[in-house]
Amino acid sequence: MLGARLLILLGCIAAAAHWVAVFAHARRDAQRRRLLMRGCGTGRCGTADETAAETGISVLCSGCDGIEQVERLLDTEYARYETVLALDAAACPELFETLVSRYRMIRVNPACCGTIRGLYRSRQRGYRRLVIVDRTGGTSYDDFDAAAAVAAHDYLLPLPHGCRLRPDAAERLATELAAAPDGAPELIVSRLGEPIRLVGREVAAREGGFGPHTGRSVRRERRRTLYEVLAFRPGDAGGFRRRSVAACAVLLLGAAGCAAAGDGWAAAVPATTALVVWAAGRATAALASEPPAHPGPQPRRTGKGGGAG
Amino acid sequence: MERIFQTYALCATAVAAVLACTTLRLRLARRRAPWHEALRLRYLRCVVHALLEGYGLPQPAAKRTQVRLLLAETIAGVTAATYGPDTGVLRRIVAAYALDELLLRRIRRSRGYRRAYYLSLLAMLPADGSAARRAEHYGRGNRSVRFYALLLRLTNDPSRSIRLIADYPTPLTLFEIGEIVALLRRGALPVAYGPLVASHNRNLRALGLAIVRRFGIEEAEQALLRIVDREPADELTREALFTLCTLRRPLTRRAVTRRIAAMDRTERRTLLRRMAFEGYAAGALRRVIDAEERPYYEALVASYKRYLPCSVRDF
Repeated sequence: MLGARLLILLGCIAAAAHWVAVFAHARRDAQRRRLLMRGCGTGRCGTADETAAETGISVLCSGCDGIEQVERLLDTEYARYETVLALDAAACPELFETLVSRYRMIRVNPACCGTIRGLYRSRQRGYRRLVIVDRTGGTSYDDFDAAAAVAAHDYLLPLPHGCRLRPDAAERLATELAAAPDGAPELIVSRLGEPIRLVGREVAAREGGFGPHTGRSVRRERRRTLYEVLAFRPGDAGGFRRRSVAACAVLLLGAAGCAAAGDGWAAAVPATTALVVWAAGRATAALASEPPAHPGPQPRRTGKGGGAG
Repeated sequence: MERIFQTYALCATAVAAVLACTTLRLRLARRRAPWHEALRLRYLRCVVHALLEGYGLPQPAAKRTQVRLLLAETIAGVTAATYGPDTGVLRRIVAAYALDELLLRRIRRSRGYRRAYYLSLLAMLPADGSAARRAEHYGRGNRSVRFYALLLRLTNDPSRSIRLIADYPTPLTLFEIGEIVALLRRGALPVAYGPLVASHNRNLRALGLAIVRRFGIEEAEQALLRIVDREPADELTREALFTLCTLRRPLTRRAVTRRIAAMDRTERRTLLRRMAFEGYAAGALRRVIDAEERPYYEALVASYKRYLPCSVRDF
């Protein structure tokens, strides 16, 4: 009996500590974000303008939901950025035709062959950051591998199907890379919202391509975890919210079990822990959904997904 | 055991209450955000009007702390986005609403990234030198605080900038160098690139290379070649090589080819991607790229967007 009660207590302490630590990390990262990103959009962002020469990010997309998704992906002011869209033109010919005609894509020589049927780039300067890879069907990891083969930049951000990036996600990631004191990290993981991973090209090459555990080989000191929402699924509360609700449910079940056994204070421990988890989850969600800091005048958009080639 | 359970339950309830209060505060701040945004735009118009006319104070008068902070952020944004604004007008606004005093008080009461944020705002305000002197002792804080204290001193005493950067104890990151270059770009830091690139101090040289890269100073080619040729292989030598590439200078010199040959495969491929990005032709680089990597580079160039035919209408 004593052992079981001790186990309940230790489990509850661990759960409460975990969720409070997540909140503390999210709070620290929100403050760091406010400091590092305060100039973005005003033409003086330390990263986007001054240090961007060093860090390029290629967003790799598996499949496409429609034009709106592509427009959102191109709607970033970060200069060294491109979107590589891996599509099976045979499976979705209408969408492919729409993309090709809308962005005036033309076929160019692919950098590699294999499953890649064709590589398309836009003739319009405003859309030069868009690359479409036409490839035969496979898993989303095969799509990422094919997209990585034609990507031009040193950091790769695989974006699962149906995911949306926050408009300033590229700037935020590049800022994090530039602000690292001991050289740029090889892996940046975002824990809140839809979890995404920014990996160095060499990491993907070393691990033989993308997979469910991409970045496993990266040492702890070369990785960085961000407790911020950088990507999300429309209409979905996100994995973080689901996990906190599940943890609350498990703890409340435990409390109900203890109460049924007639152990009042033992029931109070998981019940109050559920309260902590719920409160920490709500507080973290409130932090994560905070609008980005907006320190000054925003330049007028010149349209069409940015310019630098 | 009962006592432990009771204590835990009480502590957990207290923690939950604190977290709930935090959530409430964040939600209230979110509800006030549109009002703050409208006020920010109004202050922005007032500040720009005052700069154009040479007089005037932003209205409505900023009395509450949050509103004064908003005004300080607006002035910092204007200072950052303009070249050579009339600091006299901005100084009058800062003095009228005691914005420097407010920021100093906030700096004193906060710590970590929040303190660094307020220091960065203070560095952007055209305040008098006393604020910088009072914030001088923050140079011994954590990394971010230390850097923004340095930035504050740089803006208040530009004549000592080289000495201050040289004495800075930790290597500057790319982001921090970017912040200093941003100061330089808006005319707040008059330094020449020559002595910086020639310096043996790591921070000064890194800043010099960033200036050369940022402003596209082709006259620095000889200095860069000297670094690539004579200095030991380290991070800054690699950066000098990448700077040459960014300037689109010829990379077929003996010093450069020797340095590229000594690079490992990963670094060389990174350089090749940069070269393709900058538009180097495959044929012109036969001496630089060995037979093993030539197909990689040729494929990169062949598929690269710069080589797409564009009509004038497309621009």
